[in-house]
Amino acid sequence: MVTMRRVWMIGAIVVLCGPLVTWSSFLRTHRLEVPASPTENDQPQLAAYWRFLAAARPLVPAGASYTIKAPTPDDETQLFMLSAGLYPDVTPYPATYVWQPQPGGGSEAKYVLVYGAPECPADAPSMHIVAGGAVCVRDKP
Amino acid sequence: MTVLAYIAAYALIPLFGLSLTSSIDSRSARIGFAFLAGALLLTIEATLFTMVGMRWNIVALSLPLLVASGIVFWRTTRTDKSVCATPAALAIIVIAIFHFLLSIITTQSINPDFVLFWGTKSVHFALSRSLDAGYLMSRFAPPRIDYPPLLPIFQAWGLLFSHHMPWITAAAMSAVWLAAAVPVINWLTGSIHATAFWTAAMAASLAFCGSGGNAEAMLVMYISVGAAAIVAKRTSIAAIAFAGAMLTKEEALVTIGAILVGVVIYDRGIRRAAILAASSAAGASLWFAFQKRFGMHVGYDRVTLTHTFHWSNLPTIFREMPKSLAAGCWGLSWLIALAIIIYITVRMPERLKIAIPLLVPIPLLFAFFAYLYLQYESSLAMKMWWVLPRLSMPALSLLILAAAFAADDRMRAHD
Repeated sequence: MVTMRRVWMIGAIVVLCGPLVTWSSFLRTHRLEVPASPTENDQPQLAAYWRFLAAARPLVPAGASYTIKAPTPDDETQLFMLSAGLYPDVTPYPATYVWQPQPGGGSEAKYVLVYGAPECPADAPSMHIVAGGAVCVRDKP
Repeated sequence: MTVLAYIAAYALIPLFGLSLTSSIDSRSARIGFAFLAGALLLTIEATLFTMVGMRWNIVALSLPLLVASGIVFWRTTRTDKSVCATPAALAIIVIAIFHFLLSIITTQSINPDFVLFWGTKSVHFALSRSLDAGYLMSRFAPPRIDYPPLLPIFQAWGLLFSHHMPWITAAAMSAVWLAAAVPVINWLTGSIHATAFWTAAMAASLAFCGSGGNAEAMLVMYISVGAAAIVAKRTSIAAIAFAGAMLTKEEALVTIGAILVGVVIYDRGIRRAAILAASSAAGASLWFAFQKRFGMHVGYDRVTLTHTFHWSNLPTIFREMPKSLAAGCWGLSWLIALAIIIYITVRMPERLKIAIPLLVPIPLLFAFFAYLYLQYESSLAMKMWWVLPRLSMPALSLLILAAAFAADDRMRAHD
């Protein structure tokens, strides 16, 4: 039985070589710092969406309404899914939901979160630049 | 402060589950299992609250569970027959858990689903102080509204204390599930050395699969504890664990079904299998009753199969499967456990008998994966790479536990 115990222990150490290699590779290529988003080191695209939404959040008050404009329907879909966790107390009017354009295109929303190039729609001229895009405000949603 | 409040909320979870641990004669296993059982009881209670129209609050959710635990704790004569831990085994366990924990904290292993829908649901549930059926059925509902509620309720519980979601901390709680299961597995297998190997393998695999913040860690821990409890003849522990698994993820249905086939073969009877099936069904029924109560589609949406087989998928399945079983250690956790099983088969075949309930489900699960993948119409390799590493984790755990029981290097209390 002593032999079997040794087998388990040696086996465990061998298995932990996998994580050891992962960590040595990670520490070679990354600095240890507080991550700016939950998917910072694993899903860079989601992390970029997250950073934009987090930067825009202080400009959108609770109880207001928002929509999201982005270069592609895929961007808009993923940004909208992420925003549900960061904007739970704001009414959503997504321009795109599950890759499908929505009737009205989010025109009911007061706040337009523009991801990418900071260009506001014509009916939302008031612009606040944030990291990753802009927050535009409609006078009359 | 948000982070501290969120973490403090989880110190209560083991206290909630103590009422279901009176049969456990090891202190560390009692605490570990109380965490798993506490999460289950909290889920049942929070779901029932919503079904009868009561809003969640900390006192109302805590009080009944604390009172029940207090009564059982007061009435039970406590013993401690913990399995002795060697410093080397303990060191491996601690390193393994820290590997998973730090992988999450450094955002290497946080699952995208956590930010896309698991965490989102939690935030909405905490805000509405209910299992918000209105949100689940809203025009812009989150994905996977059919998923059972244990994880979002568990995460929302912390939010009742912190009020704001500490996203990375919430994801890091997945490592606590592994830490909670370790003393239970140690107690059930009676082998700290096999437990150290199991912990190392699970931590490597969970981190590799990006299991921070999603339901994988919970599912694998419930299934592992339940399966080990079957072999250790602790049917009540297994029944509780399987009910938890059924309220965590619909994949539990297939895994538990396969395990129960093994139980029937081992027992040559259906009594234990019937008890375990009933407890699993009870877990699922609570979720289905909630769905029915609020007019949602009743059942698991994902279990929809086309029954059209694409036999040309077979070469891709065989080519991609080994790659997807790397488990964060080039597949060594599979190979070492398999080597031990082969060694025992050759040298001491009679010892394998005890592990039948754990061994039978493994080929059944892989047959099910193949059955599933034969029906995929496109992008099979990519989808297998996405799904199989985490789908195969219960099978890996079962293989290691089977080897642990068959190896029978049990160290009893103070051995």
